[in-house]
Amino acid sequence: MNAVVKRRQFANIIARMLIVAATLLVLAFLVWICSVLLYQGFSAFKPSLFTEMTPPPGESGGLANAIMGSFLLVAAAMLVATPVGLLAGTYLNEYGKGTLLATIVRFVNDVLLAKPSILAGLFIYEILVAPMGGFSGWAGSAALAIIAIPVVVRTTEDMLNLVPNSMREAAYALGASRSKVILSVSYRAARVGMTTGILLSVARIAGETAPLLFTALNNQFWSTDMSSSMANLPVMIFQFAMNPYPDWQALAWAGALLITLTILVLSIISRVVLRSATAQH
Amino acid sequence: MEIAMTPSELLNIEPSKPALATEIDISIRDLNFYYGNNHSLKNINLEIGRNETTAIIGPSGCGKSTLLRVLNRIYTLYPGQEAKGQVIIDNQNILDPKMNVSALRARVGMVFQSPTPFPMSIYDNIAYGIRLYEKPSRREMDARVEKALRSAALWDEVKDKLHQSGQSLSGGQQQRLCIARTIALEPQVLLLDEPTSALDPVSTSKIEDLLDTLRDEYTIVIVTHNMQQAARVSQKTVFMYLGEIVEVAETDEMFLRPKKERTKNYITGRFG
Repeated sequence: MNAVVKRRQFANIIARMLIVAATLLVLAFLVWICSVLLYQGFSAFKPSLFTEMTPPPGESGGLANAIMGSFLLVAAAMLVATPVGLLAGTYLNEYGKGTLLATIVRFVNDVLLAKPSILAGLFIYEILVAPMGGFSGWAGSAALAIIAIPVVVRTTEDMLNLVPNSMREAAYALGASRSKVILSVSYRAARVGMTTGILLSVARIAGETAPLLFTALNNQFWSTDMSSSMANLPVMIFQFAMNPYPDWQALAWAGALLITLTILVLSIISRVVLRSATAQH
Repeated sequence: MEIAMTPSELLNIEPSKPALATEIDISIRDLNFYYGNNHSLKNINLEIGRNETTAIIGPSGCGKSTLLRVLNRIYTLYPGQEAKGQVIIDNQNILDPKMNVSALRARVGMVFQSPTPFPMSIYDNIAYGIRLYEKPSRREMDARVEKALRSAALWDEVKDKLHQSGQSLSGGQQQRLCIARTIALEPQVLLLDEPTSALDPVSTSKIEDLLDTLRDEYTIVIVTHNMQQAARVSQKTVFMYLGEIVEVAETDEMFLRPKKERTKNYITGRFG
């Protein structure tokens, strides 16, 4: 065997060892985090989590108000983010391709996608919370929507971009109008990917804490009033985890587990949907 | 892939049906086409006969697809592409900006190089085009879908799975589905842009047989890289080179006795 081949084999072995080591390192931390979370979370898991309110210090309680609050905040945010994101993504791929406006919008959207989420909280604090004179669920949803919109815009554009142009041309060649082509061909071809994008943006905002600290804050009581401050899981975890009371710390672990499981379920659903739809073709 | 053939070898090709004494369906007059600053069709003058198949051949980049894409004005989807001159169909210049392109495309259908079934059922693929123009009753729609699929020689293969995805069909079936979708609108002209270049030989010969039967009802213009295909399916052949028409002749005439040196070189495989 000549020297060149030997050297290549040696380089190959070294490279493979490095790659495996890096993977194991990452996996080790992931497994560590997940196992601590699962252990602590399930130790604190009890049915009363879903029925009782977050307790005052020293007492036991549940997370009912925080779960409800998180659900409302995310739902209201997505009600705004979904149409805005879908429409903007549609503009970028179907109408604005190659135009200056689309280039600018895409660039700004990428910046928004990468911004620290606390900026969304500060921004909403400045334009909604301060003028309205108090924290509110609406403000929290607005901050979450600002984080979700760029995600939906980006995935919508990417998914529409995957629709072969020949398919659009075929629809135009039958005499279809542009709106008809978009609604009945492009959207239809990209619907699975677009749905996945929406689910992933829900997963993204479900765990956001920083933007809510400045906007929805927290609430110890059951409240579905979006115009006052509102309990939610991430801020609850943030506050309870830093407290000395073991009961509160246990609730924080349970909340963290709930969020993680929700995100896990959403990711699994989007994967299953994606897979079953691609299998059809 | 082009196979070098001498005119005498071409004699072995089964002669296609003799051309009918034809009326002119499409007249192209002084057509020039520009992609931005690129002058890609130069002074094209061509008459395309009704109910005959015209094949456009020529090396890659010669403008044959561009010429086809002018005939249903699909090029207008892209800014920077411009056609000047006249294309007369039924006494109307279709390049007139006032022309209703939707109505034009219902009359001048197009089938593309790669099969493009829409992401919906076989049935809905056919019904899609019809629904753009009319709202037939359920029963009438069923009949129109069946008729289109029969005309495209696909009915027997799909009649038991009309509600399965059109994308589940094989490549050749998908292409016949696209032909069926186009003829469901009962157009007058059928444009085909290298319709078999993505297909295997068996599917290709099915499509060629189909084109032969469709000629009775439609004016067909086919762009092809495959000269044997042009010889098999067309009555008239147009040879293009560098954006210009070099020679137009009855297909048999062109392949047996090309008049221009360049045509001869191309069809005998000396360049391409």
